[in-house]
Amino acid sequence: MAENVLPTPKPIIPICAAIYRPFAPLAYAFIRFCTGAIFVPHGIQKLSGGATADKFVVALGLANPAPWAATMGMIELAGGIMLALGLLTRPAALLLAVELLVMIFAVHIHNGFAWNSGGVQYPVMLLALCIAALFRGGGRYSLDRLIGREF
Amino acid sequence: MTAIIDETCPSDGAKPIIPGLAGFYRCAGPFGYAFVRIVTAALILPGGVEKLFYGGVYRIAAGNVVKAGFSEPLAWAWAVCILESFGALMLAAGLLTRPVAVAMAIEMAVITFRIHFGAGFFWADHGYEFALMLMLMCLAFAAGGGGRYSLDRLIGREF
Repeated sequence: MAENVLPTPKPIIPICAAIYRPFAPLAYAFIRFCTGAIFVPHGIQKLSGGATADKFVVALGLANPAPWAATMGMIELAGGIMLALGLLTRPAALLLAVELLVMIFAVHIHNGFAWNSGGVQYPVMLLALCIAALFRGGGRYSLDRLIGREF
Repeated sequence: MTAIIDETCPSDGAKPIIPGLAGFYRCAGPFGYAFVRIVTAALILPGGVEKLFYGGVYRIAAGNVVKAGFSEPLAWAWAVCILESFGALMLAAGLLTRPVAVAMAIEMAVITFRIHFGAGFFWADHGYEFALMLMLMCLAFAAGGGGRYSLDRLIGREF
């Protein structure tokens, strides 16, 4: 535990330390939670709306898209919830990262960079967040840590 | 020096189920937070460069800034432009991380709620999720500060 406590610089406005002390340790957990949570609506959309619900799945041009849309929907719903809670954080992050890599190289890379034309900007951000979760795992505030074992 | 529990370095409370991976986690873990901060900033930067050098500042002054309901649109357009270019560079380097992150979180909140909110959540329909995600990440950087790998930490003073 000792290595988890680092001396951090004294704030230029000293009173701010009182704000930072409770919130700074939560930064990573907050990042992990938001990353997982943002996938959940996508999972629900694909599971409830089927293969045509997401135009990026349609853009894959698969002959039989329904089972793939359902698979992606389950990865996004279950993986998103697990990442948000920090349960099996690394396997969940890995599944989401693989899905994002496939989507980036199959669809988004052809749309350029800008997110509002369906480009790589946003999926690359999500990929980076999943890679960070792969590096870092659940962290201090996660079910993995509560259980005491993690991948 | 104040000792704040630093979530950006590994806390090896849990044993990996695959023990051989512990070494990788110990090496890679501390970079997770800086990696997120740098990538987020790097993805904001092209928009700032476009606004700064390719006339984007006038485009948004006539478009989104007005749509968001600001008077003096050109002044606000320049603020957005400087924030997304120099601000993004500072965020990537971890220089004055917290003030830049707060400013950017406010900008992203305006974009989320005043520009894209009407289009719904999904980014495929030009919804707000990307702007919301950037806002949330900037809030995380405002809470966490520069962290272990940042100019703030190198200088030894931070806001």
